Amino acid sequence: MSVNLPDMQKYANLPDELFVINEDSTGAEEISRPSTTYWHDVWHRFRRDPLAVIGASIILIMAVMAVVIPMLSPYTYSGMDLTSMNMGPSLAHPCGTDQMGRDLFIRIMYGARISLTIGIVAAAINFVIGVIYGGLSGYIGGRTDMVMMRIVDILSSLPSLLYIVLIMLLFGSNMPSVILALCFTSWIGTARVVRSEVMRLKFSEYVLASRLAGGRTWHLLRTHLLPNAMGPIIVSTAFLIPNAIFSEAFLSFLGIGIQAPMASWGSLANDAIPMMLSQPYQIFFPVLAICLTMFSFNFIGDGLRDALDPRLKK
Amino acid sequence: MLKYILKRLLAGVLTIVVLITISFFMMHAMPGSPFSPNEQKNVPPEVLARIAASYGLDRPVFEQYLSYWRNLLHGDLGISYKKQDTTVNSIISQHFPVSARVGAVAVIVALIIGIPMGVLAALYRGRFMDMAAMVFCTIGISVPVFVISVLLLYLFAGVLQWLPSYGLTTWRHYILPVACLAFNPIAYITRQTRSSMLEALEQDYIRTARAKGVKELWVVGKHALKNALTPVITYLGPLIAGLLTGSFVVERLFSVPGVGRYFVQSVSDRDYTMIMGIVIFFGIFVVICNLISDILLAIVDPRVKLNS
Repeated sequence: MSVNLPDMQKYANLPDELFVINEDSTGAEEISRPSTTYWHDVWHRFRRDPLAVIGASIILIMAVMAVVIPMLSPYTYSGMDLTSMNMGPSLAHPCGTDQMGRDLFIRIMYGARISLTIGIVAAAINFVIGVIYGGLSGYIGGRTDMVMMRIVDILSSLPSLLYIVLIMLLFGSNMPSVILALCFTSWIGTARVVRSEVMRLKFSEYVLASRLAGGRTWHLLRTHLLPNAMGPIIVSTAFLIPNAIFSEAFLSFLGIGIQAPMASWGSLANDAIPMMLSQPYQIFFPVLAICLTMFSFNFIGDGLRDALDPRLKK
Repeated sequence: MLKYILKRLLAGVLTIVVLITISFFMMHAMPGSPFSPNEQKNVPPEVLARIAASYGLDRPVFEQYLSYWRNLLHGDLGISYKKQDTTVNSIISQHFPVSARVGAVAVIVALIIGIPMGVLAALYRGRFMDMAAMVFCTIGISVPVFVISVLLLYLFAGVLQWLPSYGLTTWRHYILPVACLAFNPIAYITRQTRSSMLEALEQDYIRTARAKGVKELWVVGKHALKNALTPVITYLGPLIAGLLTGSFVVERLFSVPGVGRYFVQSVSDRDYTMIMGIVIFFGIFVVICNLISDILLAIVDPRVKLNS
């Protein structure tokens, strides 16, 4: 101890009472607030991010509307009414009608069903593939990891959109094949994140202890490695949703996504291009829906990133 | 250095082989041959068989695969199924220069706008300039390319009628397609430059430079910027791939006679050889761009090849 002795001597003849910081220490051991878990903390931080909350609310409202409104509405997505074609927004048709007299509002709501389903299902599948692939690669390590990562490198340097187009042609233009096509390469990002997290955690004391106690690979991955790596994994999955929605809208916009008479936001926008100058509302509403959703999911993703890993915040 | 380049080259070649193989077998798994009697009802089956044979479709798949490779190594991407005397090579040699020109202008515009915007945002961190740049970045990252294209087309060519909406003859025709293509990349480059600039400005060598009395402009322009730009180089590969994606939409909307528009058209025509040829061409192009940006990065930043 390198304490300055002359300094200490200065205090030597002061009364002892001065050194008692808190005489009544009976309450010191008491826990004044319930202890918070990591997820509690995350939720607390997420809730205080206004953009993320707005984004989550928009998505929630949109999801409820997408489920409820088609059940209550007098119109269907394919019901044509040749007496009311190309009508602007009105009380009967809040977003107007298209050139076949179909109610655009209800078509946008059905489009929301398609987009949200595709976004969430594709993200969920990518999450599962990414976690398994990345988890195994990171956990096994060595040569297996090398080979698995080289495969991923090759797949990721292929221009994925071209392959999505090929898969769509191969399996036909419907929702399952859109999802399948989106799962071709999107899991790579998640797999890389999972791998690096698992590599980082693999040699930490609690994992070694668990292994010494006889834990099997699967047990270690499931109870120690993956739960602790969940933060970054969730963030990378959250950004997969807007990507999937974008890709579907993009394919439909090019005319190779969802086929008529079903309509996704992309195909609604595509159908409205010829009428753009005379009926701009026909393109405005689908585009607005796409933008709102993309913004919301990106805000949610940013919010989750800041909430799950505050160190990343800049 | 040489070892690193060789390694990257090998990976690139392997990627191209995988790419060609996947595309070939996917094309062969496509439902319905263009020359099957079910699709062409008013042509006698014997004639269809003759046409199929002239494309080599009667031979075993693996043999066709080998001959595709043989042709490819001679630089021949095949003949269109739908247009009898059009080769994929002729389409690419006619239309790719157009796409490349628009794409190159878009890359330059994205770099010229994105880098200074990112630097300014980092220098004025937390101030108005930074806020404005970040709002723009959020919009640029969230709004898909086809949405921005439709909006710009509607506003500038439709309502205001300031710019032409069709073709590619004068410099004014370039403005809208280039703006649409560069929109998302500008946002990415700005965000990337800002965050790596912020990081660079906190480094010790910046403090040293300031302590030595180096002028602020020089500190930022030379010492910080040089190190902040390496992530932007990494982004150049994906940027090219992104421009291809964008070009499908932009070339179709603005009637630009490029390969992207042709690709979309062959997809709706189900012209399989054409689709495969263009996919392989684009794929090789993207892989080469990635390769160049990787090697460029290793030259600029020697730490890269030590890590790999």
